[in-house]
Amino acid sequence: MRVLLVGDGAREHALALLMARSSAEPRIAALMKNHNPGIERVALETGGRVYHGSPTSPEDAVRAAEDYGAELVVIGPEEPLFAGVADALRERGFPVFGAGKASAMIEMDKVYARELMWRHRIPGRLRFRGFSSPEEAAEYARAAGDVVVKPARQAGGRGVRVFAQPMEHIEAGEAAAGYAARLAEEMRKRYQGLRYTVIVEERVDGVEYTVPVVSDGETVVALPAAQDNPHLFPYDTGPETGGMGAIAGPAPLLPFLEQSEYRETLEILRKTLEALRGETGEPYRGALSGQMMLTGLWGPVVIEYYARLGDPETSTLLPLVESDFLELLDRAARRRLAGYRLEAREDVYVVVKALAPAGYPLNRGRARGHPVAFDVDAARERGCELLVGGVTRSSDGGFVTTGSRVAEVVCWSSLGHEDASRRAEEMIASGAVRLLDGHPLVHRWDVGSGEQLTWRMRMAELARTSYRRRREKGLTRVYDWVSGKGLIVHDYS
Amino acid sequence: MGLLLAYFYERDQDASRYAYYGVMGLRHRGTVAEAVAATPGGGLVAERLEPWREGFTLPRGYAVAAAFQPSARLHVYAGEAAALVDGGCPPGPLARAAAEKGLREAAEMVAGDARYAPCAAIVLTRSGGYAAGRGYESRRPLSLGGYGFEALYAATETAPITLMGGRWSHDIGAGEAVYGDAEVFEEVRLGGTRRTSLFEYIYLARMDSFVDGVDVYRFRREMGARLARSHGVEADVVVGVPETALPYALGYAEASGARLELGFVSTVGRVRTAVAQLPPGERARLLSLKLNPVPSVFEAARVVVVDDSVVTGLTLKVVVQRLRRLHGAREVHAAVSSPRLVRPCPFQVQVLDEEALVARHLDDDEIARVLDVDSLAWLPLGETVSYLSGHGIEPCTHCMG
Repeated sequence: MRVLLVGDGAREHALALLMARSSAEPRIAALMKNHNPGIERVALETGGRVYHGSPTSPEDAVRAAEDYGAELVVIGPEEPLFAGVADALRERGFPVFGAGKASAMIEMDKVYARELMWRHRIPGRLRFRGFSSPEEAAEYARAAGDVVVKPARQAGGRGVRVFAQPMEHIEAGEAAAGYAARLAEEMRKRYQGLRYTVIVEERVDGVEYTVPVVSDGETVVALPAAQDNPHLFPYDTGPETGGMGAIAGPAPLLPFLEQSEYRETLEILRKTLEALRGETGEPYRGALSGQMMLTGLWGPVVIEYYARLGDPETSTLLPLVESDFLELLDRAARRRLAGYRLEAREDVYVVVKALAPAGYPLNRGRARGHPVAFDVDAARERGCELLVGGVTRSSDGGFVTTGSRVAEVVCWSSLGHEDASRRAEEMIASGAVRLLDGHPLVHRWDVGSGEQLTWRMRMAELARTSYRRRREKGLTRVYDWVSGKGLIVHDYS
Repeated sequence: MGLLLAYFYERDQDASRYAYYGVMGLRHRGTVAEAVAATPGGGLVAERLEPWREGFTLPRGYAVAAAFQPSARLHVYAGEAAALVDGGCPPGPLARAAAEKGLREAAEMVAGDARYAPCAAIVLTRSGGYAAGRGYESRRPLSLGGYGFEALYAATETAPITLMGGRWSHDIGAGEAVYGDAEVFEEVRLGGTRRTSLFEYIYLARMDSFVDGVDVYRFRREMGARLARSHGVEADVVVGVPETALPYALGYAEASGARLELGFVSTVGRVRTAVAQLPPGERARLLSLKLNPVPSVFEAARVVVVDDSVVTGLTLKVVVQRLRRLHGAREVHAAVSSPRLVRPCPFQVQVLDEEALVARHLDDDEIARVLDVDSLAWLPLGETVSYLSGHGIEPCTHCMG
């Protein structure tokens, strides 16, 4: 089968490897902006090829698909979906794994996603307000208490700031307000024609996890849960990144996620897909991921949706998935998913660690342009997998960093996450990924460690105690009393 | 007697707004502190502050660190690096190492150099780096946490991290140090023994904190229960001397079966008389204002008074006298929720005068006579040690015996 893969990151490298195992003997071509040597290698090994072009350009994608005679197009990242690449390809008759532009709004427009959830009373909601003017955003944030201020449009998973009482309320309320105004201004400059620039949400605490599903518009296939680690540094400190590591397994759960919570999350995703179908009129052919938090408020709560598979969550699928993954993507694209059964290993613990050049994400200029070397084969010899990410070919034929995460190390073990984490550390220490100019690489040694798991389990237990009590008592409402305005009821049922 | 760090990754943020609440969360430890800020322009600004004074201020910058005297001290070396060291070790050499050799060397010095073995330290450099670590036989705890995606926090106990809106996420181990800036985060792990001061758990820390991973409130309740079992007197009523002794009194009452009563009302708020450094006359005046008895609690009752520590014995003596003279208590038993304090602390975690320690000079019978109590019990040292060793800590008990 001739498959065109759109995208050039570590997630696409993982997708290429997953698809390459298929009994359909795919020949994988890739449309890439950055010349990712990991994806290129899979393309060449499977008898495919590389197309240079912009993954976010519908014209480039159509041209590549036509030239290649693609029988399936798989889109990895979100930006091509927002740009209508899937729609343009479908118009030309290509089967596409990837949400249409209208459906991808669920990720691109955070206000739309929240509105959809409230309109259809999908569980896992949070209170929110969307703003277009910096002044209004500031005014609201000043008085709202514990809040999260986010860009209203997906912005590479960055720009999120949390504000807590008491400081914000008393004096640094100016900080929340000031930030909301600044962010609104920045978003207005960066993106044209936004309905809202900033969203302010109630702040929740708990344990985060991601559950992806694959949909053909009717049938939904659940994938195993994973946990992403968005902080740059160990111990959940540091700036926000696109994800510095993930753990998964034993599938489909996580050590701190119970079966009932996983099932509820799937239910949320099913209802979201139904609601989207109702509003857009188009069948959702692609992946939808719930970036969730297990909270004391309502249990599983949606932090945001991805209209695609997450990165680095996708990498955890490499050792977990036993079924023919290409068949899954292909049948979703052709709306023939009914009857597909995903087999995932229940005896494997997976740890993924991302490596980023120092400077990522706050000073990308300093993270960019460093010569890099990989040893993919050494990784395999150690029973791990190395995925190449933010790397491109330099003018002298070598490879250099693009300023984002350079690579992901995927290790697994039947003994536990700690063992998998230890193996990943050994592999990183052995220099499987090196910056040849000595520029430092950052990674999180705590991902999958015993200390981290203990913390997560404890937090999950705290959340569980609280949300189960609410449920036992049948509480579905939250009440505010505002002097002069009276009682305000928020009905979460 | 404590350290604090609020380090923001983006230089347009003002860490002092947050550190202000962190300093408030540590001020039960002392009345004088020193603070330093790293400014966006690339400088270090140090100031002395009195955190009990109304409207105290901190120097402004994207990173702020504070040290509470007397055990913790700040030194700024040539305007290049600031070292804040808790536990009586000299901050000068560390500040100099950070300025001249860099953060990694400074981190290794804290974690591995004998001069810093009993201490904990925080370093800030003019160029925007930080380090935080503990010596290999560290008496002084240090916990880490984060504030959203914006800041790294460190503090001697966890309550200040929470008060700054953050989330506690790690306890630095003995012989361990972290260092970095907005771009990197590195760790030095040389290994060592957690010799965290027993005095932290007994007295110094807030009961809403964890210290080196141990829940202070639970520790105190459990020690109260063990104190009751070792005391073994029949009583009707248990009262705690506010504030620190209250969780012990709760545990004591639960284990003994006597009822817990609220015995005292303070007229001066929550003043820690042992921390406030006062002349003796002033202290006595403060004590009577702080500990006014609730009359009906004591009338004709057999009372156990739980107090958090006995230094000179003055507090307890004043209380017992009143209960007998004015309120008609039938029996008054003293249960001290601390082992005997017999030595000053070489690490300056407490700065008590050797001559003033009653337990150093008198035996229990004599002390009971001085206090005029029917019986006297101390928290058995072995109980505290076995509890903490269950949490991987070999506490420093140097001042107790």
